[in-house]
Amino acid sequence: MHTIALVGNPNSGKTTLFNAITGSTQHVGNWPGVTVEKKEGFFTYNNEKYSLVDLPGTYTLGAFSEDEIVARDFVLKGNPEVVINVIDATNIKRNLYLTVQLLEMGANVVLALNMMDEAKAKEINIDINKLSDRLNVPIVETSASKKIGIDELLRVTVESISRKANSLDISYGEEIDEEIKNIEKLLENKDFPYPKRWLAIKILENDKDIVSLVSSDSEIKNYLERLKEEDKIYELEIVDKRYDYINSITKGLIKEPENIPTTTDKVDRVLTNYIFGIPIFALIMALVFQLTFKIGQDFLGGYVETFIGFIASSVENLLVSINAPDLLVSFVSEGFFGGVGAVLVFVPLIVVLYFFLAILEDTGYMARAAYVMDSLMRKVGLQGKSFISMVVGFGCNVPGIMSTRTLDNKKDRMIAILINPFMSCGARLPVYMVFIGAFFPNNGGLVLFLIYALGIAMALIMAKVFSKTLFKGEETHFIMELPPYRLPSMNSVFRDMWEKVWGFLKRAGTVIFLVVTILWVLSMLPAGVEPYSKESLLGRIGSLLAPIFSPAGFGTWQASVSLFAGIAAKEAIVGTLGMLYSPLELTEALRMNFTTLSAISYMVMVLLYTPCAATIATVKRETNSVKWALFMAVYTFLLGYIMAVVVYQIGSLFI
Amino acid sequence: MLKECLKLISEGSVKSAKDIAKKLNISEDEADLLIDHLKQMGYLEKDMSDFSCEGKCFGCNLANCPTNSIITFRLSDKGIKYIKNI
Repeated sequence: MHTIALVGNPNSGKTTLFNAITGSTQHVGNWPGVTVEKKEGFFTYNNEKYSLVDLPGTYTLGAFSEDEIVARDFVLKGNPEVVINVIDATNIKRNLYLTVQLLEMGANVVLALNMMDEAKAKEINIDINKLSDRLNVPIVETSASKKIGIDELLRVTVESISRKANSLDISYGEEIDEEIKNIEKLLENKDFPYPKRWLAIKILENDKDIVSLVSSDSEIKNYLERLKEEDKIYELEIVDKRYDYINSITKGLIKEPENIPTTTDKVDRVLTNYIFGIPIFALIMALVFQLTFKIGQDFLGGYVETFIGFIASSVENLLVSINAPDLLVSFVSEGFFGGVGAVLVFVPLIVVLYFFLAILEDTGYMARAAYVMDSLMRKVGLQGKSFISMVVGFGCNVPGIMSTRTLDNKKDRMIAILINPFMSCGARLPVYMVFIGAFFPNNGGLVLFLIYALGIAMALIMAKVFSKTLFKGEETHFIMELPPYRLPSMNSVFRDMWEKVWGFLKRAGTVIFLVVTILWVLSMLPAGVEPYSKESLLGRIGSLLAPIFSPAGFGTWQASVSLFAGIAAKEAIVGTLGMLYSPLELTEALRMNFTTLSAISYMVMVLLYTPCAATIATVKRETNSVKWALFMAVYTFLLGYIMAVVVYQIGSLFI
Repeated sequence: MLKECLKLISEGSVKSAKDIAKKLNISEDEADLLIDHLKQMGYLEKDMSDFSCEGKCFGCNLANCPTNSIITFRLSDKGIKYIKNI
């Protein structure tokens, strides 16, 4: 029985063609020794039966995957009498690369120019007769999905069985051609089951499979070692020459309409514009914060606050009605609801902010943001790629710092790690919101945007400082995949958002609860002291620290304690303030204890000062150095403190 | 063309297939093709390949692993060695 092989790129319609030809006569197995699926079917033509073997879809016939090795081994060693090469007519140059490799092997090729209906619809015109002449292979137009051209393909294939195929000899340039000849000479009288010229080319392409095979011969092995010593690896040149050949034989034979810009192209022209890209990114982020504030705080926040207030008073009434101990009532109403509850009211805000950020990510915009930020990042001595870790840091600095692992240069990585905490994480959001609610209720979105922008600006400034002082080094480069814009998948947006919200809720129930409990106990001791007073243990500790913060305008013991609680976890700042000012409503208490200016300097401090314990521990692990973890904790504290003092002192001159 | 493409990436003068297409005066499809070949031959490697934060976030529940929506490729050791030799 005659054997025919079917070869083609993935998505060229090869399997559709195989099904159309063989119908229900297929059987499926595995190629020996590998997990690649082997499909064989049969067809009858002029009362004679033929076997058709569907080889794995591949773009090349190298040794980069099992699929490629299976396909090329069958073409070379399985002795198919004809190889039907299925070509996607809408992407002909890319597909012809495989054809050229088949012809170099000396395969008896018939081209099935498939998807011709789609090519015609796209106004792609191919001069098939001339292409057939130039390639010296028969070409048949097909549209496998519509079963068009199948009979003609079978007729030409069967006729081609008797055709004598010659291998294609491409000139790879003087130097490579010379090496090919040398290797061919060495291969004379050697018993390898492949054509000699093809073997020689594969050796020069550094094809691992072939190099390993021919290395069994000491003479060839020595030759290969010499090539290696002289760095004579020509794989890029060989691929380029094949494309040059494809361009030369298709020249004037393929007419395609001018490239019509896609929607993604049109949108990209604006969003990734060299001049407008960054301002547009800033505008989009400002809009996100404005919407977050309007929807998450103004619209939804009130409902949650009322709900938590209702639960708090109901539980307190219940405890009082059953004569629960005063301490328990105090802990539940002031400690738990005053502290943890103060954090929970910001859940809607977290929901809305991460909903919008997930949308930006899912539409493909975040990749563009990283793209447009690249030039700015390079100006401050950072790799453009560092922006990705900064974006991740908006969620949480822990994965933000971990994602700096993608930076191959140690110096770039150290800078990216050290500036990541300035990217304001989700945990700090409740702090800003409670102060915005108290002092800037009408400009919340703008203030929030300015805080985040200040974080980015400080990160860039510090990156520049570090790259000029502590870390000097060479730039490394990358390319980025810009996926087409798409409508966001609500599944993925809600999953992403829910992960953040769930994380926030879990932290409120664990770390924040623990911190608030410890601080509540300290505020009740020593026994008999006025709870939450300056005389309590917590009050005394806070009073010791408070003078440090007086130049920044928030030298109260409550503010000092809350900042140190924030080193455990940033949400604990709000929890602590909520508890310490309980039973007063937090925004009201803040208005009594802060001025507008000291509120701003306090927010600046929260934005910039020492990151949470989990982040410091991550720095220690990622840098494998306690020194850098301590440096991070101290330098951020000093920077936050200095900036808060500067804001307050300069602001005092005007307000 | 592959050599030129690799060189452009190593110099940092291109950041995407679109940039490569513009610089080499080819279509974006052709630029994608060059990048695919360079990836397949191991001259470019995907970033984030060793990134995993499973169980390593020190109990920080906000520390979800970042989604990989931004995919970048850098020169591999093989690519760097090749560029140094030309």
